[in-house]
Amino acid sequence: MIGDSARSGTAERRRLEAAKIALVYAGFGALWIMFSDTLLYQLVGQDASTLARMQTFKGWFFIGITAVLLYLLIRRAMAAESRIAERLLESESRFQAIFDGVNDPIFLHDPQTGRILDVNARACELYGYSREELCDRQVADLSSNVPPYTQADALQWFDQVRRGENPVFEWHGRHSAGHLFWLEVNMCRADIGDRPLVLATVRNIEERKRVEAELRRSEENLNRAQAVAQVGSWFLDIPADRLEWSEQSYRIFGVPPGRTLTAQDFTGCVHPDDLESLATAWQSALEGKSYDFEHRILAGNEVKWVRERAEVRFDAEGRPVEALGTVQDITERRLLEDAQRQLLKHLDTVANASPVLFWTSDIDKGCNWFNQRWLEFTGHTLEEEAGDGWTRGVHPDDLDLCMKVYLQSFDHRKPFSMEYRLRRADGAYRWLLGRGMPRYDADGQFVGFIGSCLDISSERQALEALWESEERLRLALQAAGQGLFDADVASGRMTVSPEYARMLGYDPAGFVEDRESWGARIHPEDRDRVAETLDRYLKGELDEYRIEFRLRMASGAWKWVLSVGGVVEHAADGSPLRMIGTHTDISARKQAEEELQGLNAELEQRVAERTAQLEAANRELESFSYSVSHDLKAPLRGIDGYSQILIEDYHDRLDDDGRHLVGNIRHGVAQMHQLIEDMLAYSRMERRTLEARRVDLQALVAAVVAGRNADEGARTIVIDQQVPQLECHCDRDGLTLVLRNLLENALKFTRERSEARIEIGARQEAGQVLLWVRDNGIGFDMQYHDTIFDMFQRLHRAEDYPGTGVGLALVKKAMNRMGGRTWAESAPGEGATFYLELPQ
Amino acid sequence: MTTEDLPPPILLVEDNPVDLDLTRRAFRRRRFLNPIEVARDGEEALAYMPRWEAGEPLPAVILLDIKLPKVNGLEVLRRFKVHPEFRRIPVVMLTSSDENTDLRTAYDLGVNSYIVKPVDFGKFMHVAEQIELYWCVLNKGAR
Repeated sequence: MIGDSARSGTAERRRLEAAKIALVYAGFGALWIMFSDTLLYQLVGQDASTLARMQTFKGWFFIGITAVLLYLLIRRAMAAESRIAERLLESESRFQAIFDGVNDPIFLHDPQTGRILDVNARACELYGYSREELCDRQVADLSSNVPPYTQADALQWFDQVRRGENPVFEWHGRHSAGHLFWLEVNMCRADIGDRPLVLATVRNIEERKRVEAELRRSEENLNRAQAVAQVGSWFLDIPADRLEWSEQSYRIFGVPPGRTLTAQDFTGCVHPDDLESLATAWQSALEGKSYDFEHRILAGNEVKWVRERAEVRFDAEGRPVEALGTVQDITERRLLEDAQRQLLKHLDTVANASPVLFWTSDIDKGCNWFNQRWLEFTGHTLEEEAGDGWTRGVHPDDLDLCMKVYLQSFDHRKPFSMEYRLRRADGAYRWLLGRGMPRYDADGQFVGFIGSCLDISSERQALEALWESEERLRLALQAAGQGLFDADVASGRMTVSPEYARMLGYDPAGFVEDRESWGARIHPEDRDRVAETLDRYLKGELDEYRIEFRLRMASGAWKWVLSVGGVVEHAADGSPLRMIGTHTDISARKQAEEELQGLNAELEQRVAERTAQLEAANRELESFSYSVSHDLKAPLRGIDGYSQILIEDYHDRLDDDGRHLVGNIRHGVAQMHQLIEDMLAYSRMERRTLEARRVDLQALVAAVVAGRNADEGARTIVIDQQVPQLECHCDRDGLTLVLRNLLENALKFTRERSEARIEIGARQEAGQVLLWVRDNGIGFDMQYHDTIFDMFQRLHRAEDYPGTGVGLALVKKAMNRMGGRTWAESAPGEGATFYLELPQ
Repeated sequence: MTTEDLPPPILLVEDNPVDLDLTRRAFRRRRFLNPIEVARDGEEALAYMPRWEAGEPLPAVILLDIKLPKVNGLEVLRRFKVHPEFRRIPVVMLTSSDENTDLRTAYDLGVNSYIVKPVDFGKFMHVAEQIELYWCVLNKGAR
């Protein structure tokens, strides 16, 4: 389409070119006619026949020249033509490529008719038509066709373009599918092929429109919200001194909306009396402090109270850049407060005349008013008492409870009643009965508390005396770490002392106990036992109620308590009515017991292990001794038996020396046999199980003396028994063995004496029993007093005093095993005394 | 000792050859008529039971050592003493052990006498005499 105009231009150029050629030809012809004959005459002369011949030649020459000239001209013209055509084609296709390649939809219109001459591919996409379909359509077909988006409106825009303007406007387009959409149209003039056309670039702004609509909606919402809350917002660009107000702000300040504002506009509204304090507040806000300020404004001719809050933003250098704030109309609240103050003033008048102490507090819990009576009572001014100043007069012991009750009641909006002590102007504390209740304004809004106080000191004094005695009891129980309970048997209601609660880890203030909660607190393993004990006690089957059990503490841990109690009131029929008792914390004792049990168990375990080891060792020893007694003695029997047979049956064939030798063999056998027997006795003593029992020493000693070997030759033996009637706790067989050994020992070492004197005595000494065996024998050097008790230890030659050296070792072993001890005292030639000490 | 040709045997259960020899000699010196049968361990001793059941004459007395190979003397004693018939045969423990436990166990199992083998041969002879007198002569009528 664009090629049409180009082509029309080319035709013109061709015409010009043809005319140019014709003109050159004509000129040349004319010049030829004018000058060729003159030239011919000059060259040829006047000869007619020559002239005529030359004329013919001249004609031929002219034709030749002009033919060549024409050829050259036409060829040049044609070459130029084809160059132009090429260039044109090139620029045309470039244009078309750009036209189609532009990302925005483009329309080319005839400005006079509005006809669409050409569109690009994006335009087709935008409208959902093909190029041909679009070029067939009127603007009206492609718009909502509702003013100002009709054909006529479009033509007006085209007119503007023709006048040289480049209008940019929004248009409501219609898609081939029928739906409408928003466009932004950018029109400019495009002279193509000498024709003034209109190039319309359009852009789909549907998304932008949607966002704008949403923004508008949210702004409206904000405005509505601000209107409802009577809160306006504002924004101040500080360097530019540009102030923006929300609709509600305009409304509050009574300024017609839409005006461009500066800070001056705002300060102009501020009540002159508040200007100074406002400036101070604003200044501190610019220094970074918070801005929350109530002041008056003049809105029209009306005075309003507003509360302003703002946040100032600063740049990197700390210069204030902008401020965002709110303004709230609080005129109504202020009026209400004024009214309230007025009312309070009246109340004050009434209350001040009353003998009762009155007070009120505001929503912040601080007291804001006291009647005259109160102030007279405490001797303070209202300013001193305001807020929580009054608490300074409360008795320190009552303060915690007083504040707790007040604050808790306040938080729950519940009336309260309590007794506490308040200091009077003369310094004396007086008991007051304080009552308080929440108060509400006309709209039912909670505004604080109001309360009264009555001096009840005299009533209180009577109670004090009672309390004092109870306090003494309480202190006594507290000192003993005991908790007190007082139970109503029928209802199960219980009153408990603070220690009772504290013992279980509860705060006594809020602690309530009854039969049910108490029962639930008992350890499941103890529950049945406790219930049974209590039941039996209440039925009279038990003389006392005294039981240990575990109670669950606040922490969930268990506490062992000793519960002791008794019925203090009975009904007419004898059934129990009231039971009082105490809880004693016995956790420490229980823990100690448990630890002891644990230790005992551990000890038992260790003993069992040790016993097992000992038993194993004993068994080994037993089998060893068994072997010794059997296997050592068997060959001895052979030696002894055969040597005797030798003497008896071969007596005649042996000479005296031979018989003497056999005799020696038999003597050796006897000695060895004795040694084995002694060692067996020793080992038996070492491993035998002792049976400690009461032993009558007198009888035992007598039996030992009576049972001695009588074979003592011709010498006189005096055995003096100095044993009183005495008992000791020991192993009878062990002690018998010991005494027999000591007696034999004494007899052995007194055999040189013609009269052997042996004394066996006993006495009781410091919980022990002391026994001794004293002889008048050869004695020994005290340097050997220890070694004589060692195994196989002998002080004399076997020929002089036969023995195995096991006897005293056996004595020592037996004494050790019986938990006693033995020692000896002697001097050579002076006899010896052997002592035995045994636990009684 | 009325009509029978031979007195009933004495069963000696003893593993130690020396003790065995000495015992035999001791009895021979006492001029015992009873034949002496010997079992050298517990098993051999118990092997007599089927033979007695088969009709062999029961011993007048059994002399039983405790420390025996294979089956020990106390076990042999127990087996004899639980048998309904053979329990009546007198059993004398003849052992070197004078341990209380052995003594008590033996009596608990029903032993008729418990003799500790003396090392002294003279005493041994005495023991042999006692055994013969009591168990083979005096007690004979009771069987």
